[in-house]
Amino acid sequence: MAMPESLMRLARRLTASPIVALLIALALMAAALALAIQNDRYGKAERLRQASVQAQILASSLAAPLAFNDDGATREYLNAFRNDATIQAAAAYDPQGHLVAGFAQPGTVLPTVGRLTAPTLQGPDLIVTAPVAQNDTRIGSVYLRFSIESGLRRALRYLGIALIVILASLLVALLGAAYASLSHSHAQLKNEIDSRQKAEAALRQAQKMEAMGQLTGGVAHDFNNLLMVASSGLELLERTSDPAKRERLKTGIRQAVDRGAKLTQQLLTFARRSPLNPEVIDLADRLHGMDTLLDRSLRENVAIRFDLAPDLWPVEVDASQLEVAVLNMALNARDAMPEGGTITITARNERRAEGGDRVLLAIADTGVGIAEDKIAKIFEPFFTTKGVGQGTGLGLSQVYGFVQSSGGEIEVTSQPGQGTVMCVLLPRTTKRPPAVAAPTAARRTEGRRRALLVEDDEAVATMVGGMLDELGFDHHHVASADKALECLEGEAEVELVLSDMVMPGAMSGLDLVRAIARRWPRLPVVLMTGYSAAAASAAAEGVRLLLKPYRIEDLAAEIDAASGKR
Amino acid sequence: MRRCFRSIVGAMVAVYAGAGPAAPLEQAIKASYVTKFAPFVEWPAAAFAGPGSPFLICLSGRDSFGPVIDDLARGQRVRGRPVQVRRVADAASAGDCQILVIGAGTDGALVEGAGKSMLTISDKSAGVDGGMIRFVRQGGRIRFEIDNGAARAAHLTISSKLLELAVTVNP
Repeated sequence: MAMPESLMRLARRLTASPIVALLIALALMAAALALAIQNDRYGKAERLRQASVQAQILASSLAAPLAFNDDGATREYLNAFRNDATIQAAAAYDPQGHLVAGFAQPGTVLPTVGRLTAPTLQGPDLIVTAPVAQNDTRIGSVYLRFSIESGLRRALRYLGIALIVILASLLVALLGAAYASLSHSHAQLKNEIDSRQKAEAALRQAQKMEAMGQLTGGVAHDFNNLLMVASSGLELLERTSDPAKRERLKTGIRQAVDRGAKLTQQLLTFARRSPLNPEVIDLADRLHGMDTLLDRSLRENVAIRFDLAPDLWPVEVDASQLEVAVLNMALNARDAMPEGGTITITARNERRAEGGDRVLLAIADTGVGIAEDKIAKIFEPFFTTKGVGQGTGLGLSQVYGFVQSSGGEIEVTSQPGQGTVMCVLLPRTTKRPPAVAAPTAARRTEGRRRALLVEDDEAVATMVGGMLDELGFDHHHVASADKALECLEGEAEVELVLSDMVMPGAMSGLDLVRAIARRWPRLPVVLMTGYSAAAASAAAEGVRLLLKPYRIEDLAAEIDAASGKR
Repeated sequence: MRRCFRSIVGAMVAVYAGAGPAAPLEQAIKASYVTKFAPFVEWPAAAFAGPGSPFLICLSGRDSFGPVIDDLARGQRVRGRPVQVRRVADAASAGDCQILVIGAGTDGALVEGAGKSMLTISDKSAGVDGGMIRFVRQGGRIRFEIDNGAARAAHLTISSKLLELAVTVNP
C-alpha cells in the first residue's frame, strides 16, 4: 500500500513517542464522550418536543368533549394513550382544575387539581401539560406524564458504543505505542547493524593482516632456506672442480629452485588465481609417473605402496595440480609418521547412486592420526600442526582448492594413533584421454629454425633465449607485442613465437596470439606466464600455456605440441 | 360565576333523573352549552357590525333560562368580543345577533327576518324545533342535533369537533 510522503511524515511524527499515541487515544475518548452528551441532550429536547406535541393533540381532541361534558368521549381519547407504554398517566381537567377523566399506571398518582405548568422532570418522568382551548376560549387542560429513560438506562444503552470507543482508543494507544517502540528499536537496530558492519570490516582487515603476516613469515622462511641452498651451492660450485661434487651441488640447487617454484604454485592455487588447465587423463598413468618424485620426497623409513585398479575411468582435471595435491597429501602422510610406516595410494572406480560415477583416490598412512576437533580445520589455509618453518599450512588447502575446482569431493577419516585416510572423489568423464605423447626429451632437431621471443624481462629473455638455442632455435628478441607484430610483418621466416603474457604496451600476449591466429594461422605460438588472471581465459581459449618457472624439457614438449597442432 | 359553574356540574347528575320540562338544573346546563357553542362556530366577518362590536346571544319567545344565562355570559369573551345577552321580540332587534335561541312561542317572522349569518338554537326536548342546533335528551343526558346544511346556508362553519359530538347531523 503506497502512502503519500506527507502522510508518512505525519504518521512518523504522531508516533514519535507512546505519549502522543496515548494523547490521541484520550482525545478520541473525550470526543466520543462529548458527542454522547450532546446526543443525549438533543435526544432529551426531541423527547420534550414530542411530548408537547402529543399533549397539544390530546388537548385539541378533547376541546368539544370537555366543553359539552361528553365524559365518554373524553375517556375514549385518554384511553387511547394507554397503549403507549411510555405514558404513565394522562388526565383532562375542566377550566376550574377539576379532574374530568384520566388514568394512571400503577405506581403513579394523578394530580387532584389540574394546572398548567412548564414541562418538568419528576424523577425519571417527564410531565407535560397543555391548555384545552377553542378559539381562545379556555375549556380546560390536559396532563400527560411520560416515563423517559433514566440516566442509568441511557448510560447502559450507550455502554456498548462506549466500550467500542474505549477499545478503539486502547487499540490506537497500543498500536501507536507499539509502532513508536518498534520504530525506536528499528533505529537502534540500524545503528547496531552499521556499527557491526564497521567492526566486521575492521575484523576482516585484521584477519587479512594476520594471514599476510603468517604467510610472509612462512614463505620468507622457506624461501630463505631455498635461497641459502642455492647461494651456498653456487659458491661451493665455484670453489670445486670435482665433477661428482659439482653434480651433487647442481642437483641440490635444482631441487631448491624446484621447491621455490612449487611454493609459489601452491600460493597461487591457494589464492585460486592459478590458471586451471583441465585435461582428460588416466589417473593410473599419472600416479605411476610420480613414482620417483614421491620416492625422492619421502624418507627411507617410509614405504609407498600402490593399489590401482585396472581399467580406471578417465577424469578431467588439471594434471599438474593433481600431482601437487597427491604430493601434498603424501608429504602430510610422511610427516604424520615420524617413526616411519607405509603410505598406500589406492585408486578405484566408485559407482554411487547420488553424484554419479566417480573415481576414488585414497591416500592412507599408518601415522599418528588427526584429533577429531582438528579434522574440520585441516583444510583451512595456514592451519598447521607442524613447527615454524616446517609447514606453511597451505598444502592441504591446495588439495581442497584443487578438488573443489575439479568438481570433486574430499573425505577424511582418522583415528588418533590409527592413521589417516584421505579420499578424493573425482567425477568420471566420458571424454577419451589423448594418445600418450612421445617422450619429451630435450633433443636437437636437425637444422636450425627461427623463433621470435617476446619478453619484457631482460634476465628471463636471456635465460629463455639460451634454452631456445639449446633446442635448435635462432631467436630474435623483442620487448612488446606491438614490436613483435612489426617484426613479423617484416620478416616472414619466423617458425615459432614464444611470448610472455603480461607486457607493457597496448597489447597483451593473449592479444598477440589472437592477432597471429588471424593473420598467420599456421604459425605456432606458445604463451608463458608466471601469474595472470588472463591466463585463465587463455586456457579457456585453448592457447598453449607454459607456466613459469619451467624446465627446458617442458619448453621442448610445449613447442612440439604447438608445432604438431598446426 | 365560579359558584354558578359548580352548581351546574353538580346538577349534571341531577339531570339524569329530571324529567320535567322546567327542571332548573337542566336549563342551566343548556344555558352553559349555548355560551359554549360559540368557539366551535365560524361566523363571517359580515355577521358583525364592526370590529369592536360585542358577541350577541339573543333570546326570543319565552325565556327558559332566566338570569342563569346572564350570569354565564358575564365577563365571557368570544374571539376577543365581550358576550352580551339580549332578549329580542322582533326581527329588527335580532338583526345583528350571532346566536339566536328560539324559545317557545317565537314569531316565525322573527326567525325568517333576522340576520343572515345567525346560529339558531332550539330546545327540541322542550318541543321547540327549527334551530340549526337542537337540544335533545338522550340516555338521561342533554345532547344536541345539528343541521349543518342550514348552518352552511347561513355561511356558518361548524367545527368538526362539534359535529362529532352531535347526536345526529343533517348534512
